[in-house]
Amino acid sequence: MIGGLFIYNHKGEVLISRVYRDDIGRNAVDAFRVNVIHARQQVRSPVTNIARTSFFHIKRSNIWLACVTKQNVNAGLVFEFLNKMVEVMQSYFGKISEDNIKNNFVLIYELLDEILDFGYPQNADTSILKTFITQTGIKAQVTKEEQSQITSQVTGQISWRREGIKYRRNELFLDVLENVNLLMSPQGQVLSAHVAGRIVMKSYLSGMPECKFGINDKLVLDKSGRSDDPSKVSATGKASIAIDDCTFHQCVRLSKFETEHSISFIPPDGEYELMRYRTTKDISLPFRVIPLVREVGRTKMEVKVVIKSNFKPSLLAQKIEVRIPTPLNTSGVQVICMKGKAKYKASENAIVWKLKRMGGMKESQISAEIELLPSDKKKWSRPPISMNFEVPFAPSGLKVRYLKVFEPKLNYSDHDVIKWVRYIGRSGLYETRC
Amino acid sequence: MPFFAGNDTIKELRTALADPAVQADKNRYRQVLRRVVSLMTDGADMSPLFPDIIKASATSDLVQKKLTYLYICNYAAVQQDLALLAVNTLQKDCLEPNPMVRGLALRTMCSLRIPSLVEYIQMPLKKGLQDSSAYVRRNAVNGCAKMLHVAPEIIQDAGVIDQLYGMIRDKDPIVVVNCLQALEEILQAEGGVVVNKNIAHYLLNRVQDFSEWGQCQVLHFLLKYKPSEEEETFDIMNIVDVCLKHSNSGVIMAALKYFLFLTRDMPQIQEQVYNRAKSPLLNIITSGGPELSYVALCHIQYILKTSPGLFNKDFKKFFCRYNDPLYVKTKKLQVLTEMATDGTENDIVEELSMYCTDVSNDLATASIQAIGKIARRLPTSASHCVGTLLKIHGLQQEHITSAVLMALKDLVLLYPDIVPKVTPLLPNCVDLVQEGPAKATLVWMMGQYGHTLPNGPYILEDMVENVASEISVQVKLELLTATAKMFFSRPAECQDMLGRLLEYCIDEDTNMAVRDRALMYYRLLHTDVQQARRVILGAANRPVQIQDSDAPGQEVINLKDLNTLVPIYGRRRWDVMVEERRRKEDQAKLTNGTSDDTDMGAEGGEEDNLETLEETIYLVSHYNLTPQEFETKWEQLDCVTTVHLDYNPTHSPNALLQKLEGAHIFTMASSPEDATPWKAFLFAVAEMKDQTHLMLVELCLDRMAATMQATCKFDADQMEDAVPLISQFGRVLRGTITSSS
Repeated sequence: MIGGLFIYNHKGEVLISRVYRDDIGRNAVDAFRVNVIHARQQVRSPVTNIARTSFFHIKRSNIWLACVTKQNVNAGLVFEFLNKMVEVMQSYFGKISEDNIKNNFVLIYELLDEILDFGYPQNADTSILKTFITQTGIKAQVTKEEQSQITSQVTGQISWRREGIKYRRNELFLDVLENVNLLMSPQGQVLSAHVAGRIVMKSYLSGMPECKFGINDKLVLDKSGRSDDPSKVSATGKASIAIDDCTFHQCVRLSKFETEHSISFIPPDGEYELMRYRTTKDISLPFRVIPLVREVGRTKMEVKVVIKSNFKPSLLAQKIEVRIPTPLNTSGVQVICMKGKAKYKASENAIVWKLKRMGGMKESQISAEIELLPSDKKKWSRPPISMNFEVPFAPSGLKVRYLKVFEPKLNYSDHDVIKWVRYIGRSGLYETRC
Repeated sequence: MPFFAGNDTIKELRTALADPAVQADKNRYRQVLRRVVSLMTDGADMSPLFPDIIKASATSDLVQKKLTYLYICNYAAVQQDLALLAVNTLQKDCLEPNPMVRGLALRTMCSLRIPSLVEYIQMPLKKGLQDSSAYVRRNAVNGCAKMLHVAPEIIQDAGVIDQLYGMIRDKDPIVVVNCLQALEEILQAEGGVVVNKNIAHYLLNRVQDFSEWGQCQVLHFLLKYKPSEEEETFDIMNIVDVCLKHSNSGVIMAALKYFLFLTRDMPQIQEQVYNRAKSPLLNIITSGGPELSYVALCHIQYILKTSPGLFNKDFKKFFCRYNDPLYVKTKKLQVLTEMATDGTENDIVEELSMYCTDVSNDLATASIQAIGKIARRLPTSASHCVGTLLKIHGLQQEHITSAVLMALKDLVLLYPDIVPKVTPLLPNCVDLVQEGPAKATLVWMMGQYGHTLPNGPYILEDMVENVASEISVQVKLELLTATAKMFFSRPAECQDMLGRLLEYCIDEDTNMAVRDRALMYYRLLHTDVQQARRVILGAANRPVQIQDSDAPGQEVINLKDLNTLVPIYGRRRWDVMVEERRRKEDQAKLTNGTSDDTDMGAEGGEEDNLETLEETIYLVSHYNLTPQEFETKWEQLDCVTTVHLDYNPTHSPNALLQKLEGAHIFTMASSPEDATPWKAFLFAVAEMKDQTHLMLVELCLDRMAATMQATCKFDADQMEDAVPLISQFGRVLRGTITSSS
């Protein structure tokens, strides 16, 4: 399995090195630095083989994390592990940066000891780990009570929730977060579009509650024969949606999902991601971008971009940003826009047009004249126009139909739980070629 | 960067550790320890503090304990004598009431890996296996695997193995997984942990209890059990089906492999499994990080080899995003190329042509090559592809034009009817294309088709003028041929420049190959012009068969390779790596008596019976093979390895062949003794495991560098057979050739 794990800064200095197996020598640390970090070229593959040793790396901001092994391992597992490691570290000290890693190195070593033993991943659940790790808490002396907690943790059947949790107010927050991705041709033809959605929950519930959760998934509704109920038509005008693929948090009883298409689970305490899904059909694209690029001679270009919002007029989109790339040899830009603020950013080679908010079914446009320095160099590769925004609905059309909480042992019922549901649609890679 | 912390620092730290004021204040004491550990991480030698740290380890403060244990693990190997002192504390800690401390102590103890301490560790380890706390048991089980490398005799004891087998039924899921992993390592020589029906069913019933990492491992171990009935197989698939929905892509892949493995004898169901796997794989590509997406793409590429049509409907999912890293883009490009079939090829070619303006020249070049590849594979799409290539050519960029030319070169031979479309472009390329291989292609095309251009000879003439400044040998050779060809179709315009070119190449050029070719042309033309025409024009007009070795649908993938590194590195590269590693290990064995690498992966089991060559590989002393058979075999076989050897100039090549004959490696054909380069084709037949394998060798001798290169091809159906064959035959060859007398 994993023979060792190294963390480097952008210069290739080792911040953390932990070797789990004898077959990995100290020189492995240097081999990766020399061959990958210092190679000064684009990374050819996230898996590198140096002298029969495989290095798997990921990069977060300017920190490199590398797993190394001599065995024939499962690459998917290793990368998932690295991602998990990053997640765990983030939950302890926020952003992954050189300073944070240096300040927390004792904690990181401790984490590495608990998460991996002899190169085999053990338990990597943040909430569980907190009971093993001494470094965060100032109270390091393990009290009697905590001790028994650890034992129940360690032997408990449900590994993601400990017993005896109590809250005065039982609350449940549910966020449907969607990233809508689009690639559109200049003619307005959708080349590819998909929504990657996540349902994130924050639960503050006492005891060992059981939750039931329903969405307007086509399969579920067809089964119960309610798909043609007109009152269920959602904001985007669709009764039910087709989910291409979904994955769930460990706590969800998948057998029930398979047979009854109901999502039932005993939730972990605090924040977690309940479900992740992807849809590709009938996506309501919140915005359309219509580009018009005209090259007037060799030293001038005219760009006109129209954006149209395509959702209910009562809703408001926020944080809209349109990024129009300009050629490398741009010498000057004049921008005219009716709404919002637009600026040419020479360092980013782009015109950035920002709008604070925009209502549904509206349109807005920007036009720009770009002056070019004469150059017969490479033809400009015309990167796509990209867009960022945030809208208060789910572009996939997903709706939460119900969310029920049962706790048979304690005396609170579904009505006593305060529930909050929120939909946020954000742009993923939302690009229109021009 | 290792550096030496000054004595002052160490002295200062030592005083701080001994200072009663510091010892009294827990936080201050921790600070000091933290500094020690931080200096240690930077590579400073902190080993002189060992006794002080051992003293510090006898504490009830858990934080302090963890820090000191980290230090002890790091330096125990250097301070072996003093490590004994640490064991005392550790042993005491193993009896603590707090399970955290017990587990920690046990883990640290097993991580010391010092043979002399084994006797002290044995007892706590055995006790740990029966501990009431699961945390301690987890560490104890892993401890067994760690100790295996220090004291195998203790761990391989039947008692321990039985106990570990028993602990597969432990109620803590992590203990179960650790047990399986430990047993797999301990029993490596016997083929790893045995999974019988009982264990398999038990694991399947608990599959939901395991953590995501545990599920990956368990699914891997379940591969060892083959259900006896079809019904059982379906039951198993129903249970494991949930794993395909897991959010961890490692689990999804492991489940997928298991499914394919279960259905390997049921082709129809296997097809369904592939279909079932489609959407999770696509999901990883679109929403996983770039690294995971790369891994999934590699697997898709691998799967496409057996079921080429699988992703045809979803080809748009493989379009590159602007922000994808280069490696993802390159992989997507390869997958798209392989996916192109009737119906999708136009869209795919359209998309590929978008990438040729990518910022990365490599990707641009690759996309053009990909279009060429599609055209070669699908004759129906050829005209569309050529049209696209010609359009791309209009971009007037050096790297693009070069790539387009090279792609077109292959196509004109295959589809002669596109020639009239291509030739008018050639004059435009002359100024743009400067790099060696692309320029050689251009010159070749000028020679082949340039005679239809009105100014054809004059374009060549410019090049002939500048031949002195040309560096590339390849370009010069092509220029000679092209000018000679042009001479036969447009003699009046070319005679003069051909003369000048031949003169330059014969008199002034320093490269032998160039001179030889010029001399040959000169003599040919000198003796008989008609004969020369036949030779020079005839040779290139042969129809050229292009073999597309990596066309999809031609290989049957090995299911075992899924979910390993093989799809990521590619079959061939992986085989070379395995082979190299084996050689390294052999060398280590010869020099040290023991292998450096303690852990050698799954193939390690065979290592023991490779000690003497004669035992396993036996070359047959008589075998008849006709040259025709040799040739067809040479074309067919694709299991190839290359061996580099030193050449001893005191032996003549013929003596060498004799020597090889003595070792039962027969000569099929060879060049004359003094030819340069000297080549020989050899063959041998090996008997191994009651099977015979044919091996073909091409031996090339480079006299200048005194080296030889042997390209060996093997006739083996199974990869498992080929690997030992390759390594052993390589050694026989090396041994015979380098042995004196």
